[in-house]
Amino acid sequence: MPKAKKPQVLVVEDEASVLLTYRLMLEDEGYEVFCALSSQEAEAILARRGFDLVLCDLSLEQNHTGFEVFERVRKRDPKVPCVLLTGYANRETTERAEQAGIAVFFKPIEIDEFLRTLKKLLRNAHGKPAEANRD
Amino acid sequence: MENRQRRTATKAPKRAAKADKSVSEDVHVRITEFPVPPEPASAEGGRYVYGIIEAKQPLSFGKMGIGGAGEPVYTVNFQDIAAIVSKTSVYIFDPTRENALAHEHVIETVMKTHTIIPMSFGTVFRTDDDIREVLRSIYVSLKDVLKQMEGKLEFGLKVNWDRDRIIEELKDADEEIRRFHQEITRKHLQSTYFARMQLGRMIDKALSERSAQYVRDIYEALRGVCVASRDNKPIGDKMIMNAAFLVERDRERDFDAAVNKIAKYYGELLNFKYTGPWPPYNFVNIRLKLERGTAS
Repeated sequence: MPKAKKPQVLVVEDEASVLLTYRLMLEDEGYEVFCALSSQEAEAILARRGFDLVLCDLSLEQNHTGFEVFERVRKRDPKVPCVLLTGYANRETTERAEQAGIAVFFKPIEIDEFLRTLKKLLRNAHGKPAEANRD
Repeated sequence: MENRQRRTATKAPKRAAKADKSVSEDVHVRITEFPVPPEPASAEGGRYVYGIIEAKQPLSFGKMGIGGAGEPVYTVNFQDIAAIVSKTSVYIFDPTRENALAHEHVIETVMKTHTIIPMSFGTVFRTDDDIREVLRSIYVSLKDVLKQMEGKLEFGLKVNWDRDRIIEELKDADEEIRRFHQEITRKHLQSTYFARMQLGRMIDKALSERSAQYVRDIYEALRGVCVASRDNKPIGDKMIMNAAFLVERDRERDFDAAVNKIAKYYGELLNFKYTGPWPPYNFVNIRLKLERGTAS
């Protein structure tokens, strides 16, 4: 039986240790993870390839925001599920995300719920069961 | 431009001190731009400049000029230095693969017999006289750089690591990480954001320390066989070292052997990408600051 293709996830976060934490957590769950430390890095990666799912911190380097990254993602493929990670979003930010169909997770995130949501988003977007879980 | 020569590194470490001295020459030169109105491009409108060498007599290097027409490459001399040039009908060159290779090919050819100060890709002057004027204006600086670079070559060394493998090693070998990881697993702390973040920080710190140690060891192993080194920013998250080394031409084999030795020592843990010889791009930095003025 051919091996199922791992869902490919881009994670954008400007703090290296936090980025690594997401990577380890998601890899443990069977995702193939690509990382970017800045919106600029994310832009460069997105210019080359697409992803099944994109996670991005709200505050990035030099006043850049996660919304810029999501705009780039959606320009490439409007159906890609996007998740905004933030510690301090105000109502305006949350509404903007909701209007754009972007899921929002507040830090500290509840990890089990977070992982369940990612699977659900993938299932809804790609119309098939998520194959991310190794178990 | 790593399309020239990729050397395969294979062998092991010997400690020495880091080769951290740099002879990077940042010559900031002011030249007077003569108020000559731009001329329309003619069939041989401009002069593409590849680099500067020491030469008392005019030289030619064959028909290999940039632009695809096989223009002769020759020197424009001023006293005992010369610019390597070819005629061109365009002033702005796109950095296409073909153009970049043509530029590199000329430099590579000249390098076989001369020490060259490479010019940036796309440097075009209007006439031979303009080039002579620049050579005259910065003659002292050029001579100084040529003297410093005489008989030296640059080599590039990029080192990538298998980070996932190192992380697995750290989970086993690093006492603190191992204990914390076991605790998270045993007590089912996976759902605790802060515990996960703490583990991530511990691993990130250990990775940074491990990477810095590898880089130090590599520099130390190469210190004795190079004149200087320059640390550039690694590209991507798999690269831990992106360095340039300045090596005496007659020590090229020693440098080669030292790189192979340390690469072999690290085996599959680290991947060495070794390129060169190059002209000393990373060790010569001549910036021409054009200053408008009246010709006297």
